[in-house]
Amino acid sequence: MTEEEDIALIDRFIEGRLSDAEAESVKKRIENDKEFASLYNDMKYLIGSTRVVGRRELIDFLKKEDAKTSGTSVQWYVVSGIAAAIALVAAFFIFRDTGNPLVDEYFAPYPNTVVPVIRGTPTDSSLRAAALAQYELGNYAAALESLEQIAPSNPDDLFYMGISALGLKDYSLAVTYLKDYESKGESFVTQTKWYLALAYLGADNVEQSRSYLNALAAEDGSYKQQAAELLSKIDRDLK
Amino acid sequence: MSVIEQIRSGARDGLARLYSTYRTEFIGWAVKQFNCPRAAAEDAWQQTIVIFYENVVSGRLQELSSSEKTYLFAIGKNKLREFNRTQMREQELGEFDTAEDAAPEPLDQQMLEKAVACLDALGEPCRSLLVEFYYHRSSMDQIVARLGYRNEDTAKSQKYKCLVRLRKKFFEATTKKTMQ
Repeated sequence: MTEEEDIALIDRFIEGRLSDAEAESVKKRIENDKEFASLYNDMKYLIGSTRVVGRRELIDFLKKEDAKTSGTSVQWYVVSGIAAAIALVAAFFIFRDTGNPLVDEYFAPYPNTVVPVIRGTPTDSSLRAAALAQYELGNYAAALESLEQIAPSNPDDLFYMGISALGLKDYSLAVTYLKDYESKGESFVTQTKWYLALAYLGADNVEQSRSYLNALAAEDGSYKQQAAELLSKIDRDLK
Repeated sequence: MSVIEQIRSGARDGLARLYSTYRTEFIGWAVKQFNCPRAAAEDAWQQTIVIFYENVVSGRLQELSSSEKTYLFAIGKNKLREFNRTQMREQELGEFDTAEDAAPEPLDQQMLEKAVACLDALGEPCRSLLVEFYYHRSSMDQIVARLGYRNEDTAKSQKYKCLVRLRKKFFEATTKKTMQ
């Protein structure tokens, strides 16, 4: 057998793709053939190394994909049209270090309307009440930590977790929670659009932010005027 | 096309969707149910998705008898229990431990680290070719398409040459270690 054939045999042995008789024969060779045993021993480590590297790369890939859907990717500026690209890239460099000052200007926490109508186990209720008390005080880190302990028993928690993350200027986390709420919650649909617009703006994803603001400006809701105003300020900053 | 079929065809977009869809829910659930730090819950979720992926590419998972979420949370629960056991032994949650999965018998961690360093130093396209073949279990025709080889025979021959080069590096690295 050539070394190449031996490697193919060891591949199949390690993967468990040999018949019992073939596997037995390989085991005997490992016991009796020093050169084959050495090759087998090395192959275990070489294949092991591909798994370590493969897993590492897979996790990196997942994190990057997650960042894209959460709005932290900077790929949004790859748009058609040189002028648009230049304007957006300029915006990226203006906003990337400090977030967008417009977020601070427009951010106000949504009032706690959950606790009075809360249902659930006494433990969860008391935890939620404590978390939302912290939220009302503007202690967003404490609020977020407590809400993370009880989530996701109530989808409304995700809404307040998103706003708490916004208050902490953790915009990608805010997008994650608010997007999750968007797909599950029913109580704060319009409000979620507003806070998502702010979170995306903070995360430098102007395109997504504009998309939510345009939707709000087109509705006859309480955010119509604010959304239109913020849109015009974003356009002004891009010029 | 189901996520399992997508993964088998070599696409990883479906896996990324799974990762994002249940991530927040899993982390919240893990923090609450297992009283673990958020970072540990995030690690457990990453490992859960990786195990799901590996079960699919190895053929251990052909189809789901439950929902995606139920299956993933079951894997995640085991990872979190491992974390709790590790905590009880007062050990740190270290790097992804691959030893027991990588081969039928445990591997020496230091030797494995040497092998990883050799693979990283091997350069392209050898590194990607070996990772595609052994980790992603890509077929030779998938490797031809992905890495741009002329045909399957060329890719097969290249895989052998890469493995020989890697083994040589590994030999040098481990001999050096023994001599020190």
